[in-house]
Amino acid sequence: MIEVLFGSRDKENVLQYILAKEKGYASQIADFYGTKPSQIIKQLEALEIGGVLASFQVGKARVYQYNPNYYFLNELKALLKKVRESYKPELIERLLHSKIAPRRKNKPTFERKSNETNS
Amino acid sequence: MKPIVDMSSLELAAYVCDTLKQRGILTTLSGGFCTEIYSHGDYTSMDIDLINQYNEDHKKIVSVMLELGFKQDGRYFYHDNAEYAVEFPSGPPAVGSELIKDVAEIETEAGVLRILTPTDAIKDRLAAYYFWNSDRTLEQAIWIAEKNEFDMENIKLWSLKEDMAEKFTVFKTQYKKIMSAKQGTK
Repeated sequence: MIEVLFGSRDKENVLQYILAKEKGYASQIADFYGTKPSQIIKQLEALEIGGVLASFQVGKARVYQYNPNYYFLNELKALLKKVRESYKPELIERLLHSKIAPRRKNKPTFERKSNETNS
Repeated sequence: MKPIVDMSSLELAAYVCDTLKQRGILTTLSGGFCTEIYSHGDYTSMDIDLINQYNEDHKKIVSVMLELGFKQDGRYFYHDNAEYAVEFPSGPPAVGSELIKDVAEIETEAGVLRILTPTDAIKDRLAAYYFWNSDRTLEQAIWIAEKNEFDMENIKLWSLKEDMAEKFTVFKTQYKKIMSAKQGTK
């Protein structure tokens, strides 16, 4: 919705996900939006360098949260909440109410085959 | 000027901060190393977070740091003769939703270090306790409070503004308990 301000849809998605779920790591966010973890990692790192997010290590995952000392945090959250109201109801429902199902270890993730992308 | 190998970590931070200031880049020490200084060694950090006050072009900082003999590895700068890594988080420096306007200065042989005041350093630690429930940073806030003059009323007003009255009470109660125990042992 406002990717023009954030520079990318992925960045908007990352900010919305962490706003709704309070914390998140790259593969979790990528799964939620059906995108590549590498794209999400890039945005998470940029947002941490910019002071918007802060991260900590939990096992093998780097978990990101909002940085409580980010000066524009309240205003950013207010903007994101307003933007969220304009999303499809299904997405709002998933962001706000869906529980994250635990993922079985080593469960294969869906990958689009290369010949599918060409069809 | 003494060589970096002979500098304490405080002097190293002051040296970098002062050199950048001379080049027009204002930075302020925050985070774990601030706690290390104010807790007089109760806490040890291994990195120096100098907040880039006005978000000057990072390339300018990189250029000065390389000139000082540091090597860049991602967000961090390392020096062969220094234990501590240096990082430059983006500004503006803030505690919760409050902008930090007044900073303290510590003069050293290697330069002047701009640093959060003890009151703001406590708020910086409390912010992590308030918003992330980090007991570790609550403990750090108490360490700073124990060993420095600070403004409890200012912290109270800030906490109320951040809607954290209950957690402020936890901080104040634990701080008072420790201080009474200390006075009892004297």
